[in-house]
Amino acid sequence: MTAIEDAIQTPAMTRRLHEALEGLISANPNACWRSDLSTSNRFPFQYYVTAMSEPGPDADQVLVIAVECFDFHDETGERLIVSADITGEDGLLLSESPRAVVNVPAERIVLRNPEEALTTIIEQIQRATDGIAEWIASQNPIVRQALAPEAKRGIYER
Amino acid sequence: MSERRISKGIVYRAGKGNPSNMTPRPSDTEGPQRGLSAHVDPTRALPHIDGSGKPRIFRVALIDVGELRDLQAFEDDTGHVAIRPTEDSVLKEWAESRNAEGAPHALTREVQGAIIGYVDIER
Repeated sequence: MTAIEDAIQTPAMTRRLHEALEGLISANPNACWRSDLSTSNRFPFQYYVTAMSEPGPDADQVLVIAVECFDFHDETGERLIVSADITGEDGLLLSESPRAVVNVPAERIVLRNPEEALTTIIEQIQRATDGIAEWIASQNPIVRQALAPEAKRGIYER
Repeated sequence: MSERRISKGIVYRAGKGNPSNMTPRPSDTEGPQRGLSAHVDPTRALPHIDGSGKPRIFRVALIDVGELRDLQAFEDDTGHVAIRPTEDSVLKEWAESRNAEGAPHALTREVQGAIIGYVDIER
């Protein structure tokens, strides 16, 4: 998985995601936005963009746009599941993307031709993230609606 | 109310694994339940919600407390779980980092690393 993780975390892989998310942020400039890219054992990547009600540590969280790659294992094998969602306060689900599933071949298959196996997986992940980027770009109405009550209350202005 | 440290098992916190949700607020650094709040019951990880209106889905994070290293998890008699460091001074420093620009606090990263998935709860 390390080689796959290294490939997933390259700027090329996340570039379209980053552009789509920046597009949403630019379209909604009145929010206090924070972004974060992280990895863990279960999630080769997790990309979060959060709209906060104001600066400062006691601010309320208004909206979270999350793009995640989840490393799933069961008796049938290993799969990477790439998906995105938009949640409001306390995790209220506002919108979610279709899930893209990338099968990770068994080790014996990878060992036959590691370079080809890795290239195939990375191409599939790239297609999945590109699809997620397109979905993100379509979510501005959802984002605007979720942020609108905050804007009307002037919550971003001190 | 008594509390006991738990070193294994899954606890639940409403919302996603973004840094501001995995960092306690400064107002959460005092009292017996101080720290990042979670619950042993995913349905009780949600705030009180008015039962009227159409059902809504909430996404809840599963946190494996066995993955925590510098943080500890304490369960009280209500099933509430407080995740916090051993030193209260570190807890306060951690909370002050919430919503700051730049890289998240190391303890926020530790909680994020302990997330093993999400479950949807309908209310």
